Amino acid sequence: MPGQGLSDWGSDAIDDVERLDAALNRQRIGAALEDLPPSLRGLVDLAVEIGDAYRAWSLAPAERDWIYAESLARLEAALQARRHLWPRLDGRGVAVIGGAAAVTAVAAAIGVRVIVGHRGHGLHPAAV
Amino acid sequence: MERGRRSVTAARRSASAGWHRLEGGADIARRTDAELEEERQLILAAQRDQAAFAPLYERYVDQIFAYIYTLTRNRELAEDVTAATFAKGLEELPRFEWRGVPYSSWLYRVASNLVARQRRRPGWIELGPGLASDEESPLDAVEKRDRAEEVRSAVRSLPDDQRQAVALRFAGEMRNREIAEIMGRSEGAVKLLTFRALTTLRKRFGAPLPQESRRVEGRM
Repeated sequence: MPGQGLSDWGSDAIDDVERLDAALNRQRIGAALEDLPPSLRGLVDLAVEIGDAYRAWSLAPAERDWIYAESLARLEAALQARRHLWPRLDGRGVAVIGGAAAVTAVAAAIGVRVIVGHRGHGLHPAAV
Repeated sequence: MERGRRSVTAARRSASAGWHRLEGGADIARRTDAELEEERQLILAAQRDQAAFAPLYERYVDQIFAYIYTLTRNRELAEDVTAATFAKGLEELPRFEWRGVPYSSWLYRVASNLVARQRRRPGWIELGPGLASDEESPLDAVEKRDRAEEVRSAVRSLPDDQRQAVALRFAGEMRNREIAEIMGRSEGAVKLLTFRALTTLRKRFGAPLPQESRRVEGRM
């Protein structure tokens, strides 16, 4: 089945596949299906029955509550793990940003000195 | 957690109110614009306050569990994966963007990914539809007599791809395009899977297949 597409089927079968799909879509919006052959009509009825069978089904209250509690517990665990991870990342981030700021400040100070030195002495011979 | 448990109990009564039956005998449910707007409001409320997630949970937990159970055929695993799906739903809720489609579409996608991830684990053993030990509880034994359970059990007996396509289309009420995205297949392949699944089930329930009846009709 994997990789098999409609093109691998005969034209009659493709016709049935497409007609069924169109009928299911029409059924979905409540359109009439009078022109459908009984055989395909049977498949549409079965599809409706499958949908109804799933909608009729429900979890027991205890099971439903357990799953909800478990969801919250898993969420809390995920958030805890994230909180655990972030302070370390934050610390590294601060160090990186602080280091970069310090380097920039030093570079700026050197630049100012160079410029000042250049302006102050560049055009004139240094006094001996 | 206790707070969440109380919330979910309180929300139960109104939880399934979001389904609309078509008039004129059509049984497949669909969403109206008003229901979609109501759902959008529920999501906004849950984004403001996590405790307000309970109505969304109540609305979808049965169908998401049923979908996961259909795929896994293992009730205990289905409970775990359902819990993981809703935990992910809660975690991602602040970043969730409303796109005018039911929230369930997103949940089905998460559930599908989580089941696929479980399948890739070395310990994955899929029970056959008749071997699932959790089907043998007295409650299920009684329920098995029910036609609805017979139908769901028949769906669980289908090959992987077919039962996923059927569950997404008829239980999840998703469109071919959405199903194709979730399954990583073409829309044509999804149509074919659906057709094959329905003909297999129809045969199992003892009715003629389209090709057979065409041959019969041709002879007449």
